[in-house]
Amino acid sequence: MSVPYAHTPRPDTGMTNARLGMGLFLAADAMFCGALFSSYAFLRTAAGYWPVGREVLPMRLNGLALAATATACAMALYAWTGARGTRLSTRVRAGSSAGWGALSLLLTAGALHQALENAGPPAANTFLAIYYMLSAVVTVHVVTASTLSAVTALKSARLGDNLLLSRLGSVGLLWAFTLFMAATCFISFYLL
Amino acid sequence: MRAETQKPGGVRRFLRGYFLGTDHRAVGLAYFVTGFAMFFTGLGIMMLMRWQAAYPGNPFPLLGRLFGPDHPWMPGGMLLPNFYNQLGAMHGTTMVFLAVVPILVGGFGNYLVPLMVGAPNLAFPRLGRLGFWCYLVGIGVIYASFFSHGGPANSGWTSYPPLSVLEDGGQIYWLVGIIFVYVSSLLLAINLIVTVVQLRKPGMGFMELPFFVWTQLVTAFLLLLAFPPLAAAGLLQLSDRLVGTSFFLPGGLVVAGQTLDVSGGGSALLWQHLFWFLAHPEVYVLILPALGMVGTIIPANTGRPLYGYRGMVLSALFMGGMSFLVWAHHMFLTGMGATMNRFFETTTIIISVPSVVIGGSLVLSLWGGAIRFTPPMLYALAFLPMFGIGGLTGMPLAMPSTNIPLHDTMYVIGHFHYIVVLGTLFAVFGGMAHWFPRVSGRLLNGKLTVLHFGLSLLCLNAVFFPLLLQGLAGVSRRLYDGGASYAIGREVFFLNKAVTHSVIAFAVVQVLFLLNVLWSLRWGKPAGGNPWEADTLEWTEDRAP
Ligand code: HEM
Ligand SMILES: [Cu+2]
Repeated sequence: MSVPYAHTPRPDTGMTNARLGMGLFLAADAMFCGALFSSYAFLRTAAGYWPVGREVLPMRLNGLALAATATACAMALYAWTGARGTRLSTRVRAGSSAGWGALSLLLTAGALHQALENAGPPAANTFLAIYYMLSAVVTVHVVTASTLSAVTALKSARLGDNLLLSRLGSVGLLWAFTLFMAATCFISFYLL
Repeated sequence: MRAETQKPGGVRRFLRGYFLGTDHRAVGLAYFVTGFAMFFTGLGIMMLMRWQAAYPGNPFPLLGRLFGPDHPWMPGGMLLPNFYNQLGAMHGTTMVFLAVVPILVGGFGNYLVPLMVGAPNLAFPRLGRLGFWCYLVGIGVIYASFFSHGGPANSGWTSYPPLSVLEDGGQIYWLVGIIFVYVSSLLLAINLIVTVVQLRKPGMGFMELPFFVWTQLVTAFLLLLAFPPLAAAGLLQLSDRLVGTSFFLPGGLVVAGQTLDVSGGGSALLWQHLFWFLAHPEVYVLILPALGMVGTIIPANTGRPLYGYRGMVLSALFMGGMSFLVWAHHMFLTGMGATMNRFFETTTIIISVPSVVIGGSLVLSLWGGAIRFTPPMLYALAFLPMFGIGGLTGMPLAMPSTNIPLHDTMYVIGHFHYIVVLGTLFAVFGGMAHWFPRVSGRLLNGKLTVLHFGLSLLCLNAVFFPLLLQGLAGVSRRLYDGGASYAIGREVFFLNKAVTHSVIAFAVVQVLFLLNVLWSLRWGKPAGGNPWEADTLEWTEDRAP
């Protein structure tokens, strides 16, 4: 028995099931990340001394990773909004989004390595602990979003128009959220 | 299309449906059966604890033989203090996360919501099954801790640090298991919401959804939005335990005469905030679907629609939203300061209003109806005053001035068990009696059900009313010896034995219920299509298998 509105939007809600599902998942995800950022705020206000991020953490590498994430996100959204174009261009855009994601991961790996070398391990203090924790969570998001982009790009030829559009939309939403997270993280550690 | 169990060769079909089914009814039944098994486990754990509280220092009858003199849990049948703590943590965790929520939302929700909105199945059938698997894994991991080096988690279902970070037992199992339970409830919540929003019968407006579906919808949103912070907190606690971070540990903590070798800088209160941010909405997860069930059973047995449906729906929504703003009423004793206390006191008193609206509407729905005292209706009718007692005993806890002496006493235990046991559990029994014919095509045996109803009501009041009294006399909760070694509460100490024997009696009565279910599955009276002449879709619309 097939499930209605899996591929085509329901007229009165204007959504496919998957899009709504992704929206709800991101709402939960936002609560999850929100709790981590609240913990950051809690620890920081309670701390007697809070290091200056720019002085101890690898700001340049983190910044480049953020830029790569932003490009990946832009590509994913471009693939979605431009999906009415040719299959090939959609495929290239979604694929390049995955590529930029991979680059961002490489840069993050470098940043974490540098932080470990220069600043110390997570157990050293709560500042570093929450830095590594938030970085890890952002990384998991980038990994997931890149994988989904890559899968969508590979499968795009075989998906029907509606299904492809729905997939691209869900992946685009995920990228947008990932970028938001990464940017908030950067701002919290380097600019605030 | 009726349940798998009653067909010839039913066991194999049942197992297939249990593990592999993607039909919402199969998934719902699987949750239901597992949830009930966990409920009886939690009850068994409580029987051990209560025996210890009533007869402190006496080995258990019989169990002494089973456990040799060197057994880590109960050497020679003696329950050790640490094991009492561990059992307490497992009772709370099991009942809340592994029994009642899965029964209410995984069981009744998965089974009934699609039927009631006229949907062919869940929106994501395979995710439904995946969620069930995560739940099973969660149970497995949490219970595996019994066999781990230090035994299960011992920091209560609340897992407060520093103990939860420092103890050397099963807290890691607890954390990992809870993360699985979280994933399961996330999938469940998304599935139910999408099913209601997207798969409603075309033309069915939101204000035409049955009240039960509304309560499930609000509940799903609570699970969706309140559980993530606990998962995040669990991750932080795991990191404290495994990586040596100090999210929840302040510096300079001295344990057993030694200053701890951690960087410090964290805060145990951070955990409490994150935990209660989940756990308060969670109590609404425990009661809302129960209100929904009672709100279905009553109209079916009075022949009249609910009184004030619109007000009830709005109240449920308001209650859901508001439940995110009351969490720190569990923390009046932490010295948050008068302003914070006043804020959370006020929000807590405000949130009691929608509960009163819903409870009141349920009572008014009886007015002028031709009430039939069917077995499900009995449970529903008993629910009303019990929910009332639970709610009213909560008021003193909402205010810091009266909360402070009552905090962490047996009074609190009595209060919330009136809600979750005499309230929610009674609604669950009522719901079972009501929908059993929908699942099996047969009625539960009426006499046995009524007997179960009466005896359970009696026993449970005999369990929880004395706890309220003990709490008022100042007896703390989580006392290994039931208070024998404390000067306070001497005059109510004798109640311990009565409570314990009532718990045992209650457990015996449940055997009656199990027998009733098994007997009725095979020999119960055939129910016909719509035994209660109810007007909700799950009865009036027949569906192909
Ligand atoms: C049906 C029979 C039940 C009985 C006889 C029972 C009895 C008790 C008692 C006596 C305690 C206090 C133990 C102590 O502090 O030493 C307790 C604790 C608790 N119960 Fe129950 N209970 C029952 C069902 C439930 C249900 C259905 C739920 C939840 C839905 C539940 C949730 C809890 C929780 C969360 C605690 C606190 C555990 C902790 O200290 O961390 N119980 N129960
Ligand atoms: Cu609360």
